[in-house]
Amino acid sequence: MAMKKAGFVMVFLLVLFFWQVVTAVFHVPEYMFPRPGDVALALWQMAKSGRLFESSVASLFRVTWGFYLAAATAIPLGLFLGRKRLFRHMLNPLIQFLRPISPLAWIPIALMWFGIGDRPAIFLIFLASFFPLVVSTISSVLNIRTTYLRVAENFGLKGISLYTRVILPAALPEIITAIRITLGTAWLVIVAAEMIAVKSGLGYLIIDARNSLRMDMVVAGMIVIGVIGLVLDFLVRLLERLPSIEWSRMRR
Amino acid sequence: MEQDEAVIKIEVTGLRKSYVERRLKRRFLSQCKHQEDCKVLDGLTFSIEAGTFACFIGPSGCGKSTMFRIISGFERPTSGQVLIDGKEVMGPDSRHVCVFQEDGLFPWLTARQNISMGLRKAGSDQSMDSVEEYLDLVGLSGFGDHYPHELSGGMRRRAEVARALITSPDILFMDEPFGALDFVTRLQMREEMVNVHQMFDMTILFITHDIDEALQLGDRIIMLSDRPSKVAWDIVLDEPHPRDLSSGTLRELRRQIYYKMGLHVAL
Amino acid sequence: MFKNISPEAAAPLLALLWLIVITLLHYGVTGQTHTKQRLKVGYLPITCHLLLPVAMERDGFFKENVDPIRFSSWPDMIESVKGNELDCAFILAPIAISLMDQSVPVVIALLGHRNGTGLVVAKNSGISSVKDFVGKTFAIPIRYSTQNMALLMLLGKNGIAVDKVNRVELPPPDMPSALASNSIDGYIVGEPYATQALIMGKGIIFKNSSDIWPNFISSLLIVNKDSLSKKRKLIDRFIRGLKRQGKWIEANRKKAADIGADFFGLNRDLVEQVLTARRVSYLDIVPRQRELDEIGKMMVQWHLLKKVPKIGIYTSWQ
Repeated sequence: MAMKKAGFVMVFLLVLFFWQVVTAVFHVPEYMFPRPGDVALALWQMAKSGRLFESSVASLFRVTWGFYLAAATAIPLGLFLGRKRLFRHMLNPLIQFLRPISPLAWIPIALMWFGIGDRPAIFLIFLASFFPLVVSTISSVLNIRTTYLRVAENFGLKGISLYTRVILPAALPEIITAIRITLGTAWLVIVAAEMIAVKSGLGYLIIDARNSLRMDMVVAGMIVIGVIGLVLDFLVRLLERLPSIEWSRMRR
Repeated sequence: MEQDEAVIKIEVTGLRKSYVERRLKRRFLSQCKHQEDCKVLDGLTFSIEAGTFACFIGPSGCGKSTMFRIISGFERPTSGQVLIDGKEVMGPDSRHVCVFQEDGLFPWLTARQNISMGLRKAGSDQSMDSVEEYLDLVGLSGFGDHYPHELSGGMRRRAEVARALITSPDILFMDEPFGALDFVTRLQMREEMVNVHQMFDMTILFITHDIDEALQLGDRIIMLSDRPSKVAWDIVLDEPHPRDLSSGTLRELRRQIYYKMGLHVAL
Repeated sequence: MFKNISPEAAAPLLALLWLIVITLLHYGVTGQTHTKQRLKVGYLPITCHLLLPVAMERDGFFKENVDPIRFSSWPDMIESVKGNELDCAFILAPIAISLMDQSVPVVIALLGHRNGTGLVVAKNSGISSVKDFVGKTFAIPIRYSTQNMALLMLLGKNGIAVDKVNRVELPPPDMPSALASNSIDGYIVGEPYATQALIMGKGIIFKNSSDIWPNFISSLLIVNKDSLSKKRKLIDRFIRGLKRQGKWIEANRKKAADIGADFFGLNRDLVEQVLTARRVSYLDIVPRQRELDEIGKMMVQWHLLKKVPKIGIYTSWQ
């Protein structure tokens, strides 16, 4: 454990060192890429003025709502489609058609339907998360070992209780993995999603800083985005360690 | 032989099963060509009395598992009839519990939770105490809160047997349940099965590829031929338990079985 | 009590808790004081819109009654104007005229400023006169801009056909770096992005907007007709308050630069340089029908519009 922490700190310091040296030695002008010192200062200023907290809260708010809505609709739908072949064959072409359309292409429609503010951003996060989650959930249901399904049938489990007591728990480890990956995508999309006319958020902070030609704030914002992304990933990994999820990794 | 009326529990008549070979490349052991009808079972007929421990043996790939799935209700036959308690089998039944070849214990539940699953389905109002009872019965007391991935293969199988038993099933269907276990554990499990059969009054349909296992356990041994399978031999085994595999009767039986299977092994 | 909750049950509960917490934080922090009576005014962080921050700083009325809403690009602002979400907006003149052509219910109330646009040419482009523009690439902010039209005017005056020069649309903040990386040979844009090239040492200001087009107009203030009918008094006071700042800015350029830099988040020195170089003026900003109609005619001439629409000017606030 101590080794892991030491290793991480070393890598971090190395990156900082490299960064400082390169920008100094090559006389990189400030408008192209800022020095570590400038970025640290910008971080400090944004933290002090409360802008950092406000922006992080706004972005997290939108990602939370968008992602939760997507999960609440995509996972049940995926479980159902995984089981019902007829519906799956009917809906699959539609899903595969909509999936590759970048959420960003939906921006004009999002603005038209939801106006300005939080709602179009939440909608875009929803879109970015919904399709991958449905597809992964379907796949995880199809991957359930037949034996479990037979045992369930044997014990007379049917209907809703079949889903809650067998299908969902059996598919859950794969679903959690899909959640981890999709959450990463959602967090990635927020930067683009916040290019719409909202007054707040980390993505907006970056666009705004760039409009003001403040590269130091841009990089500071990027760092905050990266750190939060890391924390989110870590939290989902914690979920993966629950014994009722962990079993999937433990298979010999 | 039972003194009172021998009740026929399971009756199989003329059971046939074919499927259409969908693969372009031939499956291992399959003689069938692509798009051709592939016969697995070719008219099985036998009946099993209530309370019998019936063992099915036969060469690998002869269709034992297919027969198992049909009798337990997971597949329909192409033709023929399977009656349990005089009624046609329409699907799996919670009174006829199956233990499959592969691990059927739900990995997201503890041993205790798995076993009590059987409880709820039986609809009885037994309490948590009986779960303890059954854990004890299969020698897993103290391991109730372990998850399957924390238990050894043998312990998992035992938990599964406990889960099956707690429902007080009419019939126990078992498809090569001890195949994945090491030799010693397998022997221990055999002993447990004998105990279980003597303790509970139930019909057991047991498939194994291990001839000695069949000899050790079965009141009845039914041998299936290579596919398309028919019943090659059907005998009743009267030996009392515990059985000594080196005893004369059993040695003779073993020799006959090997012979019928086309094996010429010096004993 | 909490000891008996299994982790499996705890996870969804925690997830729900997080949802509640983040929602409360978000609404608490942004302090949605959206009373219906506050004016929503759209702007971009450019010196053309300096009247707004100066008024916000110096005029108590603005602090109480005005919600400035920042946009990052012209298309975003256009969407919001069309969606009736803004009471007023600082917007480019040709865009305003085009909106009126599409029957969007807006009227022009005030100009943002006069002048304030620079035609920048890369130092190493080898351009010494307008004739050298032939075959080169120039960036414009958006084709519905007086910047674009000024460039076309310049080419016309020097007898150069429009298709002999490559014009590309770029977001203004990207122009200085595009110049520095030699992707373009020059650009014409509102401040502070013209002066930025100077500071970077990569370009020179070849011409000022006033050199090409006397009394050059760029951004102006439009008002939503619907808002006008509902919040007339507020809007009148708002426009008057803006106009008043013009004189003050002229007399206090350095201070105005500070206010602008803070509000827009721009570099302080940059804004100071723009203002003190006197390249932009905040006087004479009452719009005149004739000059707007002329812009309309030029738009038709350069195929930006099919016909000159009726250009409405709101004057009753004076």
